[in-house]
Amino acid sequence: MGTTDQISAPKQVKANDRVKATDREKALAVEILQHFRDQKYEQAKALLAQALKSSEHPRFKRIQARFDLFEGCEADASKTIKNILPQIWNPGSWELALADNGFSRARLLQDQKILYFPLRKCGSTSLLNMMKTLAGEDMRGEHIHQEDHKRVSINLDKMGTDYPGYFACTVVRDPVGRLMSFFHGNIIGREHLKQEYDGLTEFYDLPTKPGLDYFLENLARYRQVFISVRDHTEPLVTSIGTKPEVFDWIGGLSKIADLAATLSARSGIDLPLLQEMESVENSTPPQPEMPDAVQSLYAADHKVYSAFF
Amino acid sequence: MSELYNTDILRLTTRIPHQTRLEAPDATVVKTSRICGSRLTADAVVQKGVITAFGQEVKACALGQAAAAIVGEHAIGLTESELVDIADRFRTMVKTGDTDFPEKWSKLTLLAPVKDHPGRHGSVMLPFEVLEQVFLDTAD
Repeated sequence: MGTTDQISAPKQVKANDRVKATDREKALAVEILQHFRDQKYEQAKALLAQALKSSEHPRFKRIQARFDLFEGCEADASKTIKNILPQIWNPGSWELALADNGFSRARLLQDQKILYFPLRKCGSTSLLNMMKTLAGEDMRGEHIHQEDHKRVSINLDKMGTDYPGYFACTVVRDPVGRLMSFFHGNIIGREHLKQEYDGLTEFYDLPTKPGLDYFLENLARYRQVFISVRDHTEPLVTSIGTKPEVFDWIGGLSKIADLAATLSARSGIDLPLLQEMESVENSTPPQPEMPDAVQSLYAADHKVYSAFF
Repeated sequence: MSELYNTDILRLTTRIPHQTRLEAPDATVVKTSRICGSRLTADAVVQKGVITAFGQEVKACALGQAAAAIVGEHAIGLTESELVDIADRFRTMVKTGDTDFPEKWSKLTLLAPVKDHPGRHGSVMLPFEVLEQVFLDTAD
């Protein structure tokens, strides 16, 4: 078929722009992170300070940003990430959000000229698998999220000129629905936080399988301590900006079939609508009243994207 | 314990009381630390010089959250004279590390290690500064 993920798109970080870590640097980074995982934060921090005295490697700066977040210093974390983003391979959603530089990550199909911007808890498993089908590759089910590195960074404001003729699409969802889906499906159903930290019931004093009220009340702290929580709960506006008009197609979860039909028509390839998500995720549990802090976190999402939910 | 990010401090970040904003406050104060960007918004109802209702939104670092948790515990029933007294003692502790609090406020000593981290001073002072402003705004 010839569709490829390896393109010479503008604004991409080339592999040879990155500085390779030495074996010593790699080992030190692993040791620092292990201290963190062992909940010995002060030791991890001291070791990082020591590492930063002798090395400027972005790997350590990334950890510095991670620790700034843990300490709740988002401004410091943002400053650090902005400085090193061009040197980072496969930046996470949290890093792009902190960089706040107008870039977003998309799955790109060059032959069909399609750009899909995946958003967590917005049908991205199904859509990314559709992209695989369009690319003539085997589907991966839930494992599709292990292919984050196949995405490209897109400057949303320049998308029209950088990618002329491309069909840019994304699926959005009511933030409360996203949050509930993440809580019930990932944290409770699949025990993501517990699995992530070797079966621990608490990590830095936060239960890995909390009650809903506790989780919502402490969402800000969960977002500081667990990167997976941060990645899954980033507001839409920090992931895809505040201009829905830059997309050729944008719609809610209920419109995924319409998007699949559009992509089929565009590519000439049949796209069965996939249901990769487990039933627990698709169920709609009662939505409690959100604490003020949660409402505040997603206020801009409602303002910009509510027409599409 | 000399570690800044010790278990007690981290635990406090999940114990912030009064996180629901008030619908009809007598005063609303927003303060931002210029150093680290931490921000605290507080609503209060003050009757006869005493805080009778309190709500806060804390967008702060872990230390700012811990300070807000401790101060928030005692916000209801707080008078301006008690606040001024405790805030003065806290400022002294932040600058010198010396701790001298009445039993009721003894948890504030957990933040003593912040003395060696000037970049965090602004954040831990925010809960006191917003309440000082609340009393200024509601003074007769």
